[in-house]
Amino acid sequence: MSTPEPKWYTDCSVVVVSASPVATAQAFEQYFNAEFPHSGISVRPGLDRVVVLSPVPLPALRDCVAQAIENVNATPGTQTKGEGRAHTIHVRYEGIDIGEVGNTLGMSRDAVIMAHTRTTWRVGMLGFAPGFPYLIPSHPHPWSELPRRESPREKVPAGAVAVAAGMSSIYPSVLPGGWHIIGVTDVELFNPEKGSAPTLFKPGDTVKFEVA
Amino acid sequence: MDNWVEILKSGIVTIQDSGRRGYENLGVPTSGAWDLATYRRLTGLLECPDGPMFESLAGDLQVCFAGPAVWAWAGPGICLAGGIETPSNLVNYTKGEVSIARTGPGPIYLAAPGLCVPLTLGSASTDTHSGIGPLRPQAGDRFELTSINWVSTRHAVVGNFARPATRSKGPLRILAHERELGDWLAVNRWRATSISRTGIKYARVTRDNFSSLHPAVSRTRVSHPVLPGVIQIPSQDEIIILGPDCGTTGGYTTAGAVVEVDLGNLAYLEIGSETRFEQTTMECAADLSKNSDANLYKNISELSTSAGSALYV
Repeated sequence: MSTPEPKWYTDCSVVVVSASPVATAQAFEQYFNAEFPHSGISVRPGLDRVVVLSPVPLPALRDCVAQAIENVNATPGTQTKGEGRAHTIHVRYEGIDIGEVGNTLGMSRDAVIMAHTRTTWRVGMLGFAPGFPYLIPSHPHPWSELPRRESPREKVPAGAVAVAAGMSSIYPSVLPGGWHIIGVTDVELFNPEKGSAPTLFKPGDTVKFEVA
Repeated sequence: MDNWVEILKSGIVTIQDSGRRGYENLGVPTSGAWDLATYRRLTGLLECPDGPMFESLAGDLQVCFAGPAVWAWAGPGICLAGGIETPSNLVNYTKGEVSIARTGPGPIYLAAPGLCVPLTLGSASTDTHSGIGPLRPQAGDRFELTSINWVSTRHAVVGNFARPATRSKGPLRILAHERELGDWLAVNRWRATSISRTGIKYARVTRDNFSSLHPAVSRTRVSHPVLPGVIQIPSQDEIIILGPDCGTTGGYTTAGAVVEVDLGNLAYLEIGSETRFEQTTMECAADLSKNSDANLYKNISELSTSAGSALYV
C-alpha cells in the first residue's frame, strides 16, 4: 500500500484515499482491534477511500490512522486481499432499459447479457439504502461509458438488476433510482430480522450473474 | 398491558433512542435522536440509558398515561399535565392526559422509562429514510410501559430537574475539507429551504463573483461514505447538511462537516431562516465536545445526590 495522508472528514472521523479500500479497511480493523481494543473505533470502506470513525471527537485519531498505515505498510503479511463470500445471482434479463443500454454501447441485447454474466463483480461497498451493493467489475468492460439516466425514476422495483457509471447493482427495495434496469432477480438483499447478518452481501464479496 | 401510554394527538412524531450503530457498512443509517444532548439529559434524568422516547418535529403532542407513570419532557412547548402547567426537564409521576403545545421549532421529547418498543438491529429508532424500525406513532397507538417504569420511581427522584442543554445561537461551526471550501461556506449566507431528519437544504443568498465556487467543484463524484453533519455541494447555489436519517453514501462533493456539538442545533432551524458558518479546528471541536459531556455528567451527578421535591399525582 502507498502512503496516503489521512485527513479529517468530520470531528469524529478521518478519511484515507485507497486503491484497495476493502483490503485496507480489513487491515485497519485488525490493527485497531489489536492496538486499541474497546475503543469503539470502526472502519468503513468506500469505493476509493476508507473512513475511520471514533465514537467521540478524538484529536489523536488522525495520528492513530497514520500509525495504522505505517504498520500495515511495514508488515505486508497483515494485508488481506479483501475477499469475502462468492455469490451466484440468477437474473431474468427482461429489464426495461436493456435495449437502450445496448444501443448506447453499440451492442446487441445478447451481447449486453453476455458482458454482464461473464464479468466477476466485487462488492465495493454497501450504501444508498440498506443492502444496496455497489458492484465493481473485475476487469475493464463497456459499462464504464454508460452514464446514469438523465432523469431518475421515482420508483424502481425491488429486485431490479441495474448498471451505470461502470458498476452494477440490485435494488433491495422499492427506491428512486437513476441506474439502467437490465433485469430482475428474486434474491432477498436485506432482512432486518436476520440479526447479525441482515444483508446478503458484504464489502469484499464476489458476485456472478447467471441467466435464470 | 398493566400500564401504557396512548397517543391522542401527534404531528410529525417518531420514536428515537441513541441510534442504530454498527450497520453503516451495510447501508443502514444511524438515525437516533436529532438533539442528542437533550436526549442524554432526559435519559440521565430518568435513569433509563439508551431508552426510547417520542420525538416530535412538528405539531403538538398529546398522550394519555393509563396509570401513574414516571415521565419527563423537553423542548419548545408548553406542557399541561392534569390541567397543571409542567416545566420541561422535570421528573413527573402522574397519570392521565399530558398535552404539549408547540411554541417554536425544534424537537419536543417525551420520555418514560420502560417504554416498550421492539428493537430492529439493536435500536428502537424510526428511520424515516429507509423505513427501518417502528412506524411513526399515530393517534390511537398504545405503547406498553413495563415494570421498569415503576422501578424508576425509586431511582429517578420525582421532582428532580435537569438543566436544559445550552445551544449555541451563533454560526454553525465546521471542519472544512479544504480551506477554499470552508472559506466559500463562511463568506456566503445560506437560507434553509427544506428541513427533515434526512437533511437540511440551503440556498445560497449572497450573489457576487467573490462568493462563487469553481463549477467543477460541484460535479458529481464517485459515491463515498457519508455521515450525519457532512455538508454536500449539489450545485453552486445549494448545499445539504445531512441529518440523522441520511443515507450512508453520497455522490456529491463534500465541503466539510458540522462539528458534533452543533449537530443538535440543526434540529431547531426553521425554513426560511438564515445560517452562517464558521471554520474551526479539530482541537476546538474536541474541547467543545468534552465541555458538553462534562456539563452533562456534572448535571447527572448532581441529580443523583439531590433530594426531590413534592410528588404530585
